[in-house]
Amino acid sequence: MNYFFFLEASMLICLLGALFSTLAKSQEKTRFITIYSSFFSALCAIASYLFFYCGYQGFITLSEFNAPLPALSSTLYFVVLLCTPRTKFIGADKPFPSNLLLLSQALSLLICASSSNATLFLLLALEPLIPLINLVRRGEPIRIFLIHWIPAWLIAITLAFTNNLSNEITGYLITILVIIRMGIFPGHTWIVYLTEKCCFTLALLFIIPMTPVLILLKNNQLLQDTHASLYLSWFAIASIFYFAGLTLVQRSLRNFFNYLCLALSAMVILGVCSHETLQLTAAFSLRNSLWVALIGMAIIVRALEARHGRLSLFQNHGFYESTPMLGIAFLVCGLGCVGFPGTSAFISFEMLADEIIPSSPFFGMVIVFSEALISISLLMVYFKLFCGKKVEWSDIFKVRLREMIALWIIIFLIFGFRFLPLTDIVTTHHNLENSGTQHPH
Amino acid sequence: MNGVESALDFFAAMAIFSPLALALFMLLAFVFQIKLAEKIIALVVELSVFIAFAGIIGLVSLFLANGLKKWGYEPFPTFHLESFHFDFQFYFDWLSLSFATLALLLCFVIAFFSQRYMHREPGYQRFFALYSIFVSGIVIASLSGTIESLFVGWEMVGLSSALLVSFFHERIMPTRNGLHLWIVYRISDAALFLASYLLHHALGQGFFQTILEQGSEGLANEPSSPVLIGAGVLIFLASACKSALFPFSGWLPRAMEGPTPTSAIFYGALSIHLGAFLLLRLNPIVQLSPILAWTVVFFGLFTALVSGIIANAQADIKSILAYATLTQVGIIIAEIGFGLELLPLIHIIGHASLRTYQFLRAPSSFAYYKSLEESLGRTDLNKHTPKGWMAQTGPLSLAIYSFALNRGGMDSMLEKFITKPFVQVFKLADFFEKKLGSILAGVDPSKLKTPEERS
Repeated sequence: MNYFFFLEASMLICLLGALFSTLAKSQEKTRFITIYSSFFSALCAIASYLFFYCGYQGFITLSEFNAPLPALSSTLYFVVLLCTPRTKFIGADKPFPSNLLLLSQALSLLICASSSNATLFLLLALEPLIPLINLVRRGEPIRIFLIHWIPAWLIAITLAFTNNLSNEITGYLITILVIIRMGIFPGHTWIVYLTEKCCFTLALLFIIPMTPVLILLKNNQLLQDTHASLYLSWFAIASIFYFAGLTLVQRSLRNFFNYLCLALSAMVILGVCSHETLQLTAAFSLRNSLWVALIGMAIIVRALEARHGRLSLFQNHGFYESTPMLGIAFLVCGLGCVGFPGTSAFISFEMLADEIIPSSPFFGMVIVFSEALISISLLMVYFKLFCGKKVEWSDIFKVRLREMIALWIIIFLIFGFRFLPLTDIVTTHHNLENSGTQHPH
Repeated sequence: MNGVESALDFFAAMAIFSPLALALFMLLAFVFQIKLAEKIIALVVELSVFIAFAGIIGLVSLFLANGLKKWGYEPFPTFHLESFHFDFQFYFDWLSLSFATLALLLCFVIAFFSQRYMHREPGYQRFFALYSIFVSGIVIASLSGTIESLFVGWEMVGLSSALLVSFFHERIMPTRNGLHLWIVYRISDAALFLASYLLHHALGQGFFQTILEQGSEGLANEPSSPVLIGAGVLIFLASACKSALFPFSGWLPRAMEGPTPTSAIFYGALSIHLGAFLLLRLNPIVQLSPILAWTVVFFGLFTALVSGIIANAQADIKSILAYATLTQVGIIIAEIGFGLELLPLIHIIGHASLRTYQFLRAPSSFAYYKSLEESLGRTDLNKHTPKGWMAQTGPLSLAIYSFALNRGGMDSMLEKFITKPFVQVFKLADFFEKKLGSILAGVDPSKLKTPEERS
């Protein structure tokens, strides 16, 4: 047995789970299958990571670079499912898309473990089908989604199957694809709509992992040669500032969360638009840290909405006294998002800004200023949600054990992610340096 | 390593890690939702602050006994990757030791005071959790040997301060004031971060020891001295925000919304002097450019003058004390701008100790005056009438009085010219975002609105 066996098992469990949850007759069974499939899949993915770390090599070689990713991805899927309220599965107006979630988990595992460029483009084309199916099932209009995604699909499929495109065209096509998929300004409108109308869990697990970062890393040299990364970096810097500013004026918690994700994703993309290994290391490490922190934030948003419905930021809610755990976790995740000292994103943020400033002082200042704006809006939202009002305690506010466990895992990862084997910055840097640059075909 | 060096390292570790261990303990208790008894919290806090204080006293004793002038302590190896390095190091000299001694002594006094003052307060544990972060932050900031480690402490102090101002968080005003403080502190953090980058760019590292050893003459000979002047400007901006210099003074009276012990220790004693401490620490950079040094003097004196006027028109004792504090801080900053070193340090120590006492006495001052009246058998203490310019009714006096009553209009000026236009631009952008979304989705804009927006 080797790590690849566990990785395959992890994906297979998800796929089987998706099948059985579709066939299950009762909602209770669906819930049972979904949570346990996700749990065992996460266990297998973690086992593959440990086996790889201990040196058990298989016939396909995972690099040190991506070995922790399937484990992280699976763990986060499991954590999200673990704290999904029972009422979402049973008796909800709109059925919880358990099978789609497991499919999404399987795809995510494949993306994290895949090494071929063509496979990555193909998976990138397949990924948005999951939220699209959910939108159709819910009977929501899909026009805005299709307006953005039809060109993106065409680009992704062209890049996956065509070998004779010139470097320039490939570079620009990748840029457009990344702008749409990551919601870089001006290709972001569909993301706001998606989180509003699609199942929130499904939408956040689609948006937060920032999958195209892997594509940008793989095609880094090509993007540099064709100057496509330069244009992408201009779009990214405009997005960072614009979305950071928009987080300040949002009046709905979901929209705030959307723009927070978009601003931070754009920051990661800006980091990847470089050929300097140090900057790429910072951006990739930052992406992994933000992945955890944003999932944590999303869990809290969902937990609050499960108790109180959609939340407005017009007035103060004062949830701290009834759910202090959520308040503390919100602060910790928020600090994790802005790279506060002690969190795993801290050094990555410092390194990223430190690398960007010499090449472009303007970009560096925008990053530092935007980070300050984001941290201001985070504390503002914290005060709106958890302070400013006295709320009578009721049993429905009580944070359940499952939610507690999920939040403890997230908090542990926010503070301790850097200390896990192969997840530190030095290993990432070493592997990026060794991996060199690749061309798409 | 000889015995003295081992002892120095041991005491340094005591001073630095004891507050950090306390912060970790309190945070873990919070995260795991363990409700600690008041007695246990008080014991743990006092013990750990005492250990840290004992560590500092040990260091001072060793310095005196061995005639030492400086000592570096590196608890963790430098994080080094290509051109990037992060040095988490500490540097002990008379400045850092004096400030850390003052900080830990006052923290110990306040911890002792708070355990009774906060007795049966629902947020007792939260108060001490935030307090422990503050103590760790101030110790790291005051003892740091590099700009990076100072930045870590600086941010910890900022976060704990903002959350402590909003300690009584079931009311709206404390949260608004906490947010106001946080905004100013984040500007300060951003300026310090950029200054840290410029220092690295100019000198290749951010060690204070190198800067202090070179002095302003040595730094002037560096080819990158213009960059260092840029760093100096940013350092001054960071200090101005932290020390509430004009025009950032608006947060200081707002910060009085927090519990009295925090007002005493943060805004009367330590936080408010942290900016001055930073300027003092990096004085060679400030003195590099005479224009920058005179700017520092000007802002210091101007803040002192304006705060002195405003303090005369305040109606509550905490606000009076806040502006009185600011007057002294302005003078301290001016002293630093003049290139003095010992005088500002003595001024900081004396002023911080006095203000801590005054802030702690503030809630009971009326009772104190009443008892004084009763013991003297007089009531004319109440018949205090304004004297000097406050007693005049001429147009100039009224204008000054109105200026003082509006606290110099600093908050409204910043809001009118910076905050409001900035927010308006993004509100407009948000409006167009929603419009565009509804057009692309092909739905009625009102259907795209979230239920809360509709309501």
